[in-house]
Amino acid sequence: MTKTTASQSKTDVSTSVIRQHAEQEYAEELAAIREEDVYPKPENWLTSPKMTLLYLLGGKTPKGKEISPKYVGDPKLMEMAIATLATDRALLLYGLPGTAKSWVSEHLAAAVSGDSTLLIQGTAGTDESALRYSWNYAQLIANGPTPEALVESPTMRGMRDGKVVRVEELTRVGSDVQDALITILSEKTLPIPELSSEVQAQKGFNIIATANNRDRGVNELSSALARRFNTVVLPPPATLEDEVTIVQRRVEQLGRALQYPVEKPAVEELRRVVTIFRELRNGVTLDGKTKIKQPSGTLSTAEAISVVNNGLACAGYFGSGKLTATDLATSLVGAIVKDPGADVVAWREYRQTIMKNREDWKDLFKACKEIDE
Amino acid sequence: MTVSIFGIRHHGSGCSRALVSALEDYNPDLLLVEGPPEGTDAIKYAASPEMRPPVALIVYPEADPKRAAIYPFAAFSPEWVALRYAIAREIPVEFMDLPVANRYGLEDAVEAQRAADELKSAGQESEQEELQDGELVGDSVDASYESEDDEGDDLITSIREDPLGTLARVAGETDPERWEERVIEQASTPGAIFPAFLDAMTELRCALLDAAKNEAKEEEETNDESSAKTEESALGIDLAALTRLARSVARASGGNVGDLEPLREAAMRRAIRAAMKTGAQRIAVVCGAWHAPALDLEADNPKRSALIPKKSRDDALLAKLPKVKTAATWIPWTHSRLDRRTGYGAGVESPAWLAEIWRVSEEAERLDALCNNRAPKQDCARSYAAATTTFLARAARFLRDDKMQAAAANVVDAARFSETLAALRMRSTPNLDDLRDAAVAVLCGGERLLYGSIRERLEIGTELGAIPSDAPATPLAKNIEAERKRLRLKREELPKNLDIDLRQETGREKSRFLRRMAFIDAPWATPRQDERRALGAFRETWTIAWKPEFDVVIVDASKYGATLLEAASNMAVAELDKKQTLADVMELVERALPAELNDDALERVFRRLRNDAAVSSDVNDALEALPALARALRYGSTRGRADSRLAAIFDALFERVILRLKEVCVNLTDDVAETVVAQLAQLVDAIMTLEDSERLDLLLDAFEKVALDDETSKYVVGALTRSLYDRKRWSEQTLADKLAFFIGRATPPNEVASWLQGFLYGQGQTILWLDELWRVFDGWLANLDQDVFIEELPLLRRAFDSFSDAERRSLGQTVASLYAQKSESQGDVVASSWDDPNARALIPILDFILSGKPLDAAHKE
Ligand SMILES: Nc1ncnc2c1ncn2[C@@H]1O[C@H](COP(=O)(O)OP(=O)(O)OP(=O)(O)O)[C@@H](O)[C@H]1O
Ligand SMILES: [Mg+2]
Repeated sequence: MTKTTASQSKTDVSTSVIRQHAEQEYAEELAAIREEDVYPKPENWLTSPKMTLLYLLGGKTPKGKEISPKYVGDPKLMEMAIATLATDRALLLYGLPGTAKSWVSEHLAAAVSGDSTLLIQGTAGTDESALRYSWNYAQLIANGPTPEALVESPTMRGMRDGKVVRVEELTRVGSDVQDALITILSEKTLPIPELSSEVQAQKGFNIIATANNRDRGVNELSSALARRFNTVVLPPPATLEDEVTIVQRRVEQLGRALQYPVEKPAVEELRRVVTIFRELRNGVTLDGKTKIKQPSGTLSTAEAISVVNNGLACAGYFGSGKLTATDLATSLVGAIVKDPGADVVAWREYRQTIMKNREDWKDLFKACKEIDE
Repeated sequence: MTVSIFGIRHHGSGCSRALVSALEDYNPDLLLVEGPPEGTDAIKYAASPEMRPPVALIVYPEADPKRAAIYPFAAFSPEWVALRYAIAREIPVEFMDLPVANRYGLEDAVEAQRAADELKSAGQESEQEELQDGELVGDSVDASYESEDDEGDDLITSIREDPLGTLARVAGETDPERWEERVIEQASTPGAIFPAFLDAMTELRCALLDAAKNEAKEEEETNDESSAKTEESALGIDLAALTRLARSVARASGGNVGDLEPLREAAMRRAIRAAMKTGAQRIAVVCGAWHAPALDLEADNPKRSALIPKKSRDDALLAKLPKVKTAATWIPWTHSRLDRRTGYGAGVESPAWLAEIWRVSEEAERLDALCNNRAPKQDCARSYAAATTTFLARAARFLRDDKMQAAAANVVDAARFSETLAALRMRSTPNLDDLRDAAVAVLCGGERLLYGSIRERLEIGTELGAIPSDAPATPLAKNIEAERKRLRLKREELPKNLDIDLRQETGREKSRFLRRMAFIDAPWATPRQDERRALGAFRETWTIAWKPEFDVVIVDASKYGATLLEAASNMAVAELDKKQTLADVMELVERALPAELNDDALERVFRRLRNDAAVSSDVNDALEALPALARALRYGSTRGRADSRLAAIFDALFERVILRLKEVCVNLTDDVAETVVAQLAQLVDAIMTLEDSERLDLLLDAFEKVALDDETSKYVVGALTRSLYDRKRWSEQTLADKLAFFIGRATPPNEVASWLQGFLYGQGQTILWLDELWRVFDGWLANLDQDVFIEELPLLRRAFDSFSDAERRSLGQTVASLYAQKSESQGDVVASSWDDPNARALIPILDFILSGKPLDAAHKE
């Protein structure tokens, strides 16, 4: 197969790309883990389930190598996700936006198959060929249906090589296209009638799909398809501390990659941002005493991360080089006010009744107020 | 001679398995079990093939059976296993705890002392204060006393009730049941866990004791900690951590383990000492793990002997304990009452699951074989793997019962997934956690809430035990049980519908039986629809749900009689004495009649009713009681058992209402008027169901008179007018005339609004088409002063409150059609006047009254 697709060319690790794949960014951790891995591995897995769990949850390898936590939350959920891949059932990660579904999916693929790039991005326009194969028409016309004219889909490659294939936003894919997955998952073969051949899935092939709660009812999975998936629901972070940890970790990571000329943000600053997100998301203050109007947006952890990130960029390029309330305020307000009607009301009320009365929030309150006016 | 202590976890199925092995190895010739000695005689019934756990042993003071102490046993409870083992081996077995007789004796003594103290201290306070808030003071003192020690007490209670749970927590496992399974799985032989438990418990209790003694020596403790070697017990528990925990608990609670604790353990030691004198060679003692170190009389471990006082001290402690007279019996129990969440301290989380893994265990099979005198069988349907698959299959079935998708094919997937999950979690076989997670991921679409909706059925279950018919029971319990069997009513906890046809003899008997049960405080059946409507019909619709507490209630009711009829009748009479108003008494009558209580009870009830009816001269009382009386009368007549006593009372009360109706209809606020109107409506309904046209006429006469009386509250006038129209006493024309007359006399608008409210009470389609009436009303409205009109608007709107949207719309159409007719008949003249801007201005206002749109919105339109 001479075709080079975008993903294949990425095997040479270049550190100047904006965002590296998980298997590149964490190559060192993965190498250490694999070296020490003594546990049984399902066929074609590069890492045993046990060590994959360590990779996701973080901790120390037997020899003491520090592994950073990728997922912060209930370990049970990661156990369930990994165990699913080890059976012949597919995995569906389901949940609210920004709950690390794609993130976990990428790291799972990286740990299990060493390759997180077999990716199908689900949209309304995704057609069956994206899941199966398509043709290079120039060649098709010139030579008729030949193996050379065939353009493989990530699914086909995953089946052939025994790797994990990722399908993002499965529920946005049209129902008839989803049905193509049923055959792949139950037959574990992909027929190519034009060439009178087929690709048989090698052990190690499996599918991780992600789907978003908010898309419910868009193209709900048919029961036949749903039956082939184990569903693991990823919840929003359970506690303030968890969420602050997540934001802190991601911001640091991204900061390293993007190299903003700015100091590391103080945990206190992160805690305030996360507090605002959690209170507005849950419709009640953290102490459970005051009810709050909820804005329309999801206010996910992912958005909290990007608020802080934007703030850091501001501080680095236009500010003092140290994250201040003013740097945060713009993107904070932007993240919360999505709908100029109701959201403005909810946000103003929160600002005036909650933020204003917190002694050590004066700077943030003022900064936000200035933006609104 | 040897004594072996087996400290178990109450209802721990793992402990049961270990206990079977340990007993087989030890081969005891006498067995002592933690439990009330009053129950020892009842142990023999555990051997009966009719005995099916869950069951409970209840020991109750004969004078007050409701205070029963309840000791539940499941098939998987170690104590139950011990009893069965002893019976099968035909060795003596006894309960060894402090007698319940002493416990209640002590409680009574303490209570008496407290009452005496209170009296004394009350005497010292100034009289005025005592009168004002004597009780309040007592309460608040109690409360503050409690809150002070609460935290420590809670901690120590939880440790004492579930000491192995504490070990589990120290070992880093949150769930004691899972921990127990694991520990027993990992032990070299299951029986080996008992010495390990004993050591760990000794450590825990000695540390508690030490800490309580040397509270002051904090420094020493810190030294201690630094030098503490990280010793590991055989259970894989860090003993130093255990010691630290015990110390902190002791500090919080002041070492107070509860007053009964020393007494109970002294009593158990007394029983062991007595057993040692019987000549038995190998004595086995089965008790809660907590007590184990304090019962090990033969301990050569110096630490342990610190927990055991000398015999003379025990004897002194137990001498002259007060006691009450008690009796004991078995009652059926349920798995749901073993659920820890119901507040049962020694409860477990998942009784159905524990029962299942016990059932499939080798040890259970060995015990069964021993009890039935046969060789143990190998049966692959009885394997742990089979239990896990059954669990998941049941989960799928319950989901399907709830109309959720859960294909049977997925059960296999779920089972395989649970195994993979267990392997990842370093377990050889899936435990309940793995199974739950598998059910969630594979069968419930990842939704834990969905799993929550089937959890109770799946993990707790509705298992109800049974006891042998020859077990001791009160005559009442036997009578009820016989009746229940005869009527084929099942003791089932899950609510079920029961429809009864009263034309059949068994139907009537069932109804009677269930109603009598309600009188003895065992409301087995509750009416599914408003019984008032059902009375007199031939069908009764009930929901029945048995509760295991009913058995306790029955024991308690036994003092009222030996048969259900007798007990129910006597309890009804007792209840009667507590009734206050005529209506309350009437409510009892309504229940007593269909229950067909005995003549004595009915006679007393009627006598009371008659007396109250005669003594009270209040029309309100009469009005309140009459509808129920009418229903009762009708009930009797449809069954050919018309009761002349009842009819006489009815007549008397009815007459009072007719003669003095006006009294209740004057000077009323709208709220009170509404109540009166509701009662009158009920009365009319009741008379209608009696099909007594003579009385109906009398009543309508009275209505007419009161409706025409100037002093009558207008709300009531409105309602009576309506009633008179509904019952065809007044025609539509009369109605319109009365209204016109009423309005014509410059009646204040607010009274007109009240009238309208009363008139519209209780909705009804029929009045929507009363063109004439609405025309009069509309004319009145149109002529109102603007200010007055706005003032009265809220009242007018309220009158239409109970109308549905559809009804409002159709009323709107009626009004509109009034004018349509007019314009047709009178031609263009009116049509043009209808075009008048003034008239048009009225439309939004009518619209507002009828639609409930805000007025300003209506104005803007
Ligand atoms: N529990 C968590 N542990 C670690 N990181 C988290 C957690 N929750 C959120 N994140 C972070 O949030 C970011 C967003 O996650 P991701 O894009 O995977 O969300 P998603 O669930 O796929 O959302 P969407 O439904 O919008 O696609 C990631 O950078 C991830 O690191
Ligand atoms: Mg995503």
